[in-house]
Amino acid sequence: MDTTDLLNRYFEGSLSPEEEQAFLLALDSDPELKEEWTFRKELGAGLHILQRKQDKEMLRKWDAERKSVNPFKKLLAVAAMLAVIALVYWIYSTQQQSDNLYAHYFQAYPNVIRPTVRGERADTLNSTVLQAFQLYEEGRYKDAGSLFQQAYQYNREDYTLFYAAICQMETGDLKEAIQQFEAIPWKKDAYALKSWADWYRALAYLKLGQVQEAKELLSQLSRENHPASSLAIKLLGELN
Amino acid sequence: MNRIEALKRGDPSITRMEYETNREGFFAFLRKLGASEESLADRYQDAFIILLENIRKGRLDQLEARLSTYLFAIGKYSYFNSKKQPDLIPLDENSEVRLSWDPFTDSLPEGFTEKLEQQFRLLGLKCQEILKAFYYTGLKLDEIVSNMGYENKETAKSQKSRCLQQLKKQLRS
Repeated sequence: MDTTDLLNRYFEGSLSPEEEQAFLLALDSDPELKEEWTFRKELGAGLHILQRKQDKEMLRKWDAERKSVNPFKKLLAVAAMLAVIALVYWIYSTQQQSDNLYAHYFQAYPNVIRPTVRGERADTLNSTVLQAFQLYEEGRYKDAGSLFQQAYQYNREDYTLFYAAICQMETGDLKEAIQQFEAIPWKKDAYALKSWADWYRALAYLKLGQVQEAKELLSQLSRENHPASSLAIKLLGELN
Repeated sequence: MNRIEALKRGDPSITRMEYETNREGFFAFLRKLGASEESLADRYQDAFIILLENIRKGRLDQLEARLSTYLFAIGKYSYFNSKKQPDLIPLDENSEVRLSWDPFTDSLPEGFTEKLEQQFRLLGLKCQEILKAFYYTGLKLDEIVSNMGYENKETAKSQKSRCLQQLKKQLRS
């Protein structure tokens, strides 16, 4: 096998353990091979660092745009975003229907109350709520929804009804989900979910073909200072 | 289009939606763990970059859990790890997926990254594309042939070799 093949296979990770060992030994006795290997290694590391730098700049820019109070700048950013979205949709689909938009935008709200990641101290959590979120994370929305409803009977937390409604959307019970969102009393709204509830309600209306109701909700949302607002503006742009 | 696929292709609207949607949840989660308010934005950006890099490398192609679960796990692991950028992030007990992360900070000569940034831009787009596919995304030559429309493996290999030599020459000049 020539040197180029050997180097390519090393960087592809396709050398056998024995071949890799022999290759690493050869580096010590072949200065040219070592020089080429070092260059490629540095190139790989450098490209990673540059891409991360580029990503970081992009995310900082998005954060800065969110913080910006200059309405003109905001408008420009939104316009640019809408232009990109319009272009993407023009290319990929000229017939965007409500169903497509719903499929594109709907994503179950993440578990921000008790994320089920390793090391969570289960013993400190209420078992019904914990179980509901576990089922939710596993995508077992029907069972999760029932448990959230049960949980609300004793904890009276807004978020349990919010997640119950998301479960109804996931199982396709959209009318029930809308009613559920509307029935949330929003006593504390400690997790800033109220505006997200409006966002999901708008999506449910959209899926049901009640576009006018969806637009009214999105229009209200677009005037708020909330992460859902930029999504509402985007979706409105696509509906209009 | 599948969400992971859209993120992999760099769809700006989907990437931004994913970034905005998980932001508040991530902040709330890190606050509960005790992270300071002023560190949250930076931590979220770093976690999102780790997520994006792993998606581009195809490590989440078979994703079973939600993206937010992975994002929160990265945040949590990074927060509790003494190194800000861990090299291997366990996600959950049942998942086969492990996100890896090499900070690369110790492996480069001084000034190399800055020089590479200048010189890489001067390469033709085709060269940039193939070098990035092989050395950043981690595609094998066979995958480059099928994904990037090369005639066969030999053609892709020669093209990559020419681009490497050109870049090396530029970096030395």
